[in-house]
Amino acid sequence: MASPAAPRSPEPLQPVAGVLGLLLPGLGHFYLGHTRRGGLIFTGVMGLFASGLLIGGIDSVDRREDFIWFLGQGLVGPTAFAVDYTHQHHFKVADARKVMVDPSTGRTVPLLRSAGPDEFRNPESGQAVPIVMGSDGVGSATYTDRAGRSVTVRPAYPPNAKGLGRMNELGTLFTTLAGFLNLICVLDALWHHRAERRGPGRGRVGGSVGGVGAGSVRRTLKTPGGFS
Amino acid sequence: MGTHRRLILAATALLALPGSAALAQGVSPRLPYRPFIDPLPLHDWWWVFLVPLALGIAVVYKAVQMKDSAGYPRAVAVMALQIVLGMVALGAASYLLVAVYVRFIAEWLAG
Repeated sequence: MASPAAPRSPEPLQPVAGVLGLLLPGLGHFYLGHTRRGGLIFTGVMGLFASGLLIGGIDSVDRREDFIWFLGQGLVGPTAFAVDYTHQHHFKVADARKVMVDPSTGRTVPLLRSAGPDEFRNPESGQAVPIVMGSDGVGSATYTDRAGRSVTVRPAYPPNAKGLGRMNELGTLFTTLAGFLNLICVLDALWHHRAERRGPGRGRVGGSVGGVGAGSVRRTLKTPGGFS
Repeated sequence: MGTHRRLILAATALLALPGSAALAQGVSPRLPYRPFIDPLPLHDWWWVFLVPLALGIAVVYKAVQMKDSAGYPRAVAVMALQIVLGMVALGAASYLLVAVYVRFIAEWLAG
């Protein structure tokens, strides 16, 4: 008669691993000693996020225009916030004709919006500058810098192309799915045993979801079949 | 044209060989394509991206769910295939619902 299976210890809460997983996908599992699993999570989540940016452009991540989607994208971690910050502060143009209330300061500021196909972005003030097409088909834009000098840029292009249609949908979907998948990984890391080392004369232990008795040793498992 | 841009265009052109006209339209001389900043000019080939999407989901999900790494690549491939086939089946079912069933009901109601 087969002996009954040993009772499994409850999954310990790993708050540090959860926080690390939110900071960088896979880092939580890496901290727990599951280096291979962490590497695969990092590759998958960041690969999806980067693919979304490649497909839909930087316009795929937009906290102001697509806030609901950004709730998912933000789960990727600081990377998503950095991309959104770059998008808002280095690609969007300030529309002097429309205003909005800045939530952080409560002051009225020019509305930030994506540049049109015939607009250049003043690199100093962020104001939209119209692109004037020359007879040779090359556009130029003239803006005034902080010193009051007139600066002409030629050829002048919009800071980015506004994402439209399928490509924008796909880019948004890729980046949002990356965030939700990272949420699954963070929840997994929160309740996860640390990887154990194989001892002499013992079978494979730890290195898997819910490995038993892996409380204190945080070292990479090198077992061929393990998943550390 | 910079080497960086030429490499990206060559890679995207692999996907767009039959529809290279669409690629040429997207990269206009006024606005050169800049990877990670501008959307890929492959609007007619959007469905191709279902494959890397399914693959990415499978890589992460199986990394979390599997107890050991034995058979991991195979499990990822099978799950990605299941997702793609499931999406195709859902698309076909939606088409049948709208183009056949709803049309039949509308014509039946109209007498």
